Amino acid sequence: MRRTIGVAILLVSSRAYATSGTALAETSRDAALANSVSARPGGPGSILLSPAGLADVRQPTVLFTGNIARLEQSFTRAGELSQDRGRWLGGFGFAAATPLPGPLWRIRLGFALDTPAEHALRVAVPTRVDAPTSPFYDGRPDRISSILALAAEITPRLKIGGGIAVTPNLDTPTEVSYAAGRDKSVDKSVIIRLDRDLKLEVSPFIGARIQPFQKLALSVVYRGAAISRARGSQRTVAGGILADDPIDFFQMWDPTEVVFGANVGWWKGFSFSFDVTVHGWSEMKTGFNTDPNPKLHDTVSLRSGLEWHVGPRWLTMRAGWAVEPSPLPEQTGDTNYLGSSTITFAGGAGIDLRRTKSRMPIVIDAHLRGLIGRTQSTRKDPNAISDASADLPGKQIDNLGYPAFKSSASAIQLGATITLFLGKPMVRR
Amino acid sequence: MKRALFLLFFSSIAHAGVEDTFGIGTKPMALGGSFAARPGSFSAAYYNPAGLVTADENGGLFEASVAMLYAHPQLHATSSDGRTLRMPEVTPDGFGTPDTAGLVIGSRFAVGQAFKIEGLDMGLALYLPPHLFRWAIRPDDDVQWALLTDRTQVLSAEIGLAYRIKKWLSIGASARILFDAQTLTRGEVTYVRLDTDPKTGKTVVRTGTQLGVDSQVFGRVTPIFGAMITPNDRMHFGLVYRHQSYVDDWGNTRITGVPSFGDLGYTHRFAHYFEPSQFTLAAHVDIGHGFDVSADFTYALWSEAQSTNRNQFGVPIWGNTLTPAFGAKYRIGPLALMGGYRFQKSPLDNFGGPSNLLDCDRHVASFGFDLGLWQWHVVAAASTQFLVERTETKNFMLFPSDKAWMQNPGYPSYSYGGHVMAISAGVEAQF
Repeated sequence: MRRTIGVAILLVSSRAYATSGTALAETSRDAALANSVSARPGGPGSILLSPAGLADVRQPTVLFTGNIARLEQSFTRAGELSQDRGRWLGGFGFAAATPLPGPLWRIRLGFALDTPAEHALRVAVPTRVDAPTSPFYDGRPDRISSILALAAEITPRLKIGGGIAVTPNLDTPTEVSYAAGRDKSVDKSVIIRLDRDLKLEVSPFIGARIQPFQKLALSVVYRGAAISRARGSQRTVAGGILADDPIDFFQMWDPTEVVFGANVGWWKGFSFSFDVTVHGWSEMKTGFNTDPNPKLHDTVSLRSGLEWHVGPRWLTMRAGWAVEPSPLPEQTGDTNYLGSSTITFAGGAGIDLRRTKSRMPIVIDAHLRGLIGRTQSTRKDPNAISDASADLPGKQIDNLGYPAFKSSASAIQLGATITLFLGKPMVRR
Repeated sequence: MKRALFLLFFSSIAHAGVEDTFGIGTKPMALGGSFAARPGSFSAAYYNPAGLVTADENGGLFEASVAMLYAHPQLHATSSDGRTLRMPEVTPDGFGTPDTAGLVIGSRFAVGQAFKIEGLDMGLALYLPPHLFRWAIRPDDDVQWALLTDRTQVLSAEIGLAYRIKKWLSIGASARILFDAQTLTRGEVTYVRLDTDPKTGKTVVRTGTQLGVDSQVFGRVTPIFGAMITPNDRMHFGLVYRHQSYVDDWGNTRITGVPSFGDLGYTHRFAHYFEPSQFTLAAHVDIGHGFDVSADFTYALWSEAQSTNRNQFGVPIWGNTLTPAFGAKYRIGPLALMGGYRFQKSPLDNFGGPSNLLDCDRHVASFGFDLGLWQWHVVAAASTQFLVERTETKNFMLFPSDKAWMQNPGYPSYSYGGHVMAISAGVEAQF
């Protein structure tokens, strides 16, 4: 009798940034402003970045966005050739928002959906905890995400908003057995029973924007961590062999974030915004739900954007920059996380066809954005690396990053967004 | 090094989705699913994309809808000796025939308004269960309800575009979105020792593994095409084609370093939620005095369906079906009362073979109301599906051996049937 042993099947998923959260999927307006939009007037494409901005929507509005990006990433172990980990990324987004009709006009309802071009979702958890992986670029752009939000205009100068982002968790219990004689074919005598359950759980976000003076707006935004888990029993029985290992994989898409923002304008059509974001990366776990060695630390990123409405205001020019420190300490221990501090430069333009002769209720935006990362350089500390084989004398080291490695990452992205205004404005000023 | 890498090709139960089971939207449920000739709803994204636009619509339009759906099946399968047949479970709760609960979100808007194109509308219909997807893979010969288990436990989405070419003719197309999944599992053996299987109590060689995975979920899009003919203000005819769709689930598992085996594993391939290609002819007539009726006839090519595990047992068990559906609506001022009926012939018959996929002919009766309050509408519906009792006797001639015949979970015969109650309620707003 032939024996078969088989194991698990796994899958996962969760929440993420743009219209609704997928990394690098922001609308063109937000991307061109380097995501410094929490205190700016908002819309259906900025719900996650500026929940209170949803209250600025005056009529039913839908938005379509698309982008393409080239990510360059490399991993080079000391004395070896560089491994190219670059890839193309792309994605699409849809968002809709509207004031509620009738006496509920002060309340706005918004929905947004991001979907990557290649995968609806990709989760890769390597067998080894020391496999080189990037917590920033490997998984976060590869998942579908959606949000549902409500916002209210308390007064014309005070707006609040909040919602939920969907974060799926997966259970995949699997049972594989071999029933000799069930069929003449050996293949058909292997019986697989598996359940796949991708539960939709939620993580909250909330924000407020106040305008103490006509030309100054201040904002605060809180976004809960987006975390997914994949669990399930994995039982395989073949003859006298039993493999019965539970699975508990863990994937963090985005940490808890708190944003403080300010926007000043309009001076001759100019406005300037500045956002400070605290990222709670210290809560991150490895794919096996253990603390990374060494642990990540929290970071503070800075973002700023400049917007200029040219002349009769049918044309808007935008520019932005951001500095994002890396939460990764030097990877001297077991893990080999890739990533380093980045600087973002972005620019873009928008055309408001409502202000042209055509009077079409359409706004078209486009952006070009570049992310430049520092070279990450790490030398492993043999004392911080786990013993690969406790059965052998001395300390055995088989870490994939040993004795040292370098890594770098950069990206360039091009995108466009089209916003359609439907019906007539339901909220007047 | 000895290697044993087994190759398996499995495909699971062929299924239609929540649309054919309960309806996507409260009004279609109330009207028995007779909706392909009734324009002016987001639900048209599934029933007939051409119905996303109406003959008399001009200017701006934005509609949004949200409704809850809940269904509770009460089914039974009893062997000839009186035992209740249960589906083998992997999880403690098992999937069995779970209740269905979810949200149906819809929107319809005049996308052409922005481009100054009259009669160009877009619609979106989304069924959102608590799980993005939830499915159970079982061998063909496990006793299981083929069309009433996990088919309504998966997200369903249709997005459509319609254009009114002439006042009397509209055309439309929708994309129906499903998922494919690829799972590559890798493992390394971490220890081997003699142990006792906690489930069977037998002594086994326990193989501990450190597992890793690369899972990818891909979107799959299948088209729906429709046309709506409106010869006059009181009559509509609909013609719809829906292309077949299913979820493809494939991958492989390999564990390295197993003592005296080397590399071990298997390749799997399953198909879920198979929906056949369908053709629908429908008519809707406004009789007057607030009363209108509709009739839909849907021919479904179930014979093209792969049976569970790709006809593993070599017996064709699927057949084409014709489903008639009828709906009626009576309007009194702001209140509309609705009722409907359809007969769904089961596409499935095991013919006494090794498969134990359960399905029955169904009579579906429904009713509901639509109450208009300014720009808001409150809608509610309820439906009952009566499953016609069936009995199946295992035929020894269809089994490879008497042993396989007698070991089949359905041996020697069993009966099954039941009913499913469903309700839906929600609000719609017109902007």
